[in-house]
Amino acid sequence: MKKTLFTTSALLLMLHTSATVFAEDEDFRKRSHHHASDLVTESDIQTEIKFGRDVAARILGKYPLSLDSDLTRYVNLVGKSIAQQAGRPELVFRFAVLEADFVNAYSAPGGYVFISKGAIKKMQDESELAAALAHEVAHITQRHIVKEFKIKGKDDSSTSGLTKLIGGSQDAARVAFNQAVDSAMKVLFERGYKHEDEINADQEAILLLAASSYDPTALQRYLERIHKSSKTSSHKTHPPSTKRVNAVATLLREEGLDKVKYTTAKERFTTSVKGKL
Amino acid sequence: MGGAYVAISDDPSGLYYNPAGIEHAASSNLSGSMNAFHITNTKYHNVLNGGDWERSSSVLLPNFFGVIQPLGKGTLGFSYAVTDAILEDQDQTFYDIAQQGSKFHINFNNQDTTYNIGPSYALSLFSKKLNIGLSVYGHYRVKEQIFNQLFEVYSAADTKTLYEWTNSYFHSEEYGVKPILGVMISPFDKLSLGATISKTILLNASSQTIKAKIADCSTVTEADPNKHVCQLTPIERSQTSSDYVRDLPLNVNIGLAYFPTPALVISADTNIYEPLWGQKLPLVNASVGAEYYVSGGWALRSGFFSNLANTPVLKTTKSSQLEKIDFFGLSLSVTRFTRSTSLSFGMTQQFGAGKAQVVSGSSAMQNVSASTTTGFLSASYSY
Repeated sequence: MKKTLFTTSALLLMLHTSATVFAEDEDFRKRSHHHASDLVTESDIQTEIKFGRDVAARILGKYPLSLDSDLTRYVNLVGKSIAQQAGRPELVFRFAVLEADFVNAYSAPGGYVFISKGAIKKMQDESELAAALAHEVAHITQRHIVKEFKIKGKDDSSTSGLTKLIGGSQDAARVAFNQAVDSAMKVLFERGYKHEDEINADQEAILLLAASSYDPTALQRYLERIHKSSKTSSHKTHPPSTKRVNAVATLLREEGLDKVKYTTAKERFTTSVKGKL
Repeated sequence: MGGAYVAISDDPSGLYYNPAGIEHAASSNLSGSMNAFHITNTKYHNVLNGGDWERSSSVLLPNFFGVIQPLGKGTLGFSYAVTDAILEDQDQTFYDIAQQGSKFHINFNNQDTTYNIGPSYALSLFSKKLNIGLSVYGHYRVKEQIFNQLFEVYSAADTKTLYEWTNSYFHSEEYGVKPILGVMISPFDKLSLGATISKTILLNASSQTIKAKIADCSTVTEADPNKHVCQLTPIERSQTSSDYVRDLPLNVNIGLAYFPTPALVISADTNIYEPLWGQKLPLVNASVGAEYYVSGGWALRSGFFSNLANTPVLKTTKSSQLEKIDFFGLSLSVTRFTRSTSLSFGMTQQFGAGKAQVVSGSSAMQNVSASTTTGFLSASYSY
């Protein structure tokens, strides 16, 4: 009886502690050493590039690369003009077209961006191409995958060496790196980015478009078109939801970019992609 | 931090303290290891003829290893923890106990180690505001005692030194499971609450006791023990075994941690143990601790704790009662952080006092003073 009472009291106490009032933000748990480790080093950048290269190789293992050099050159010119405004001068951005009919674009950390021919087919002008590429560039510049999977460079400090000796962590680090590449592939092809990362990438993309003198409403136009046709398309990972389309419209208003008249470069787009899709 | 970690637990050691906390680990994959050097000294006062009996233990062993990494919607962990380890090796001689010139030699070896190994899983609900976690440890305890006693005394009647040698050997093993269910919430900004409930459920146990005695007895046929005449046959041997399975107490830990700034954490835990041996009230231990970051790369941790024994108060009318030693202690450690590693060195010091009955069959009680020093080196690596 006494034991039952004690157990019941213990469980009630635990339930009481899990009351339904919660703090607004869990970041308070981060201590000084967590903040210190958030600083980006040269080794982090090199690891990000290596990680992105592995992911890019897997993407190209999944879908064939377009060998149309003119189309690739055109996409690279548009993409690099966007990337110049992106604030990551340490990265070399590379853009490629995938021989695929579905509507999608992918980015891998370190500067690797892919867009499907199906996605380009749905575009009406160069600003829309720039918008799609800017969204992917933003995923890279904002380090969404890098942050989610905590991709970091080597720690070559003497303390680290001693720790490795005690903890025997070398193999574990290698395994973790490969697991993170697998997880990144799942994000790109199955789960999709986190909703807040998508919204953040849209916001950055709008600013990049404006900074590159492209029509900043291009993203909104393109997303609305894709959204309307998403029921029949093979868009799997991040079809633009109504919520996302509305969020882009709100962002344009908030940034005061919904009325600006920048170039759409429609003619150049038509000329450049004509007969290549 | 004096063990006040139930409401923090955001690294592999959380697998044991509170598995719910591993969901707050800053890194996606992390391993930790700890090696401890443990010294215990226990002094039983006025045991024989006013002399003290002092037992000391020292043991160096890896006592924790844990790995955590995300899996599915939660975090998976696996850990190995040696929660108790005693290695005593003692050799002591008492002089002039029964009469001038007598000697009593004690040679005592005691090994008692408890191992826990098993998986853990934790899940976050409500955007990490409520975490739940479960560790299921396989529990194994092995205890072995070898106790040699040699009593020597000169018998004038026999004109020779008489002796009595007693050897006892005790070996026990226990197998069981130890589930630890934990929750962690943040009811207010900068405040974390954690709670665990655990119980070691023994599934199988066995023990064996072997005693042997050889005596060179007096030829004088007096029944006066002061003349050291054998009361028993000169050679005796007995062997007993048991498969009695103990019922171990339910344990509830409740902790609170306050994070006023990224450089400071203050925490407090209460450990409540189910009453045993007919006691009416549960045993309550407590600990308080703090972690202070001198910089992003260096942290100091300190704490105070109680370690009261969950055994009944000894009664003067009984014999062969379990000893009761209550400890109070403090801990201090320094940690060096790099971007992906941490290396800690620390010390824990406990001082205890209590009562014991070390003379078999006697109701005499001894005052006991004890101290325990533990030095540890731990490392963790995140990537």
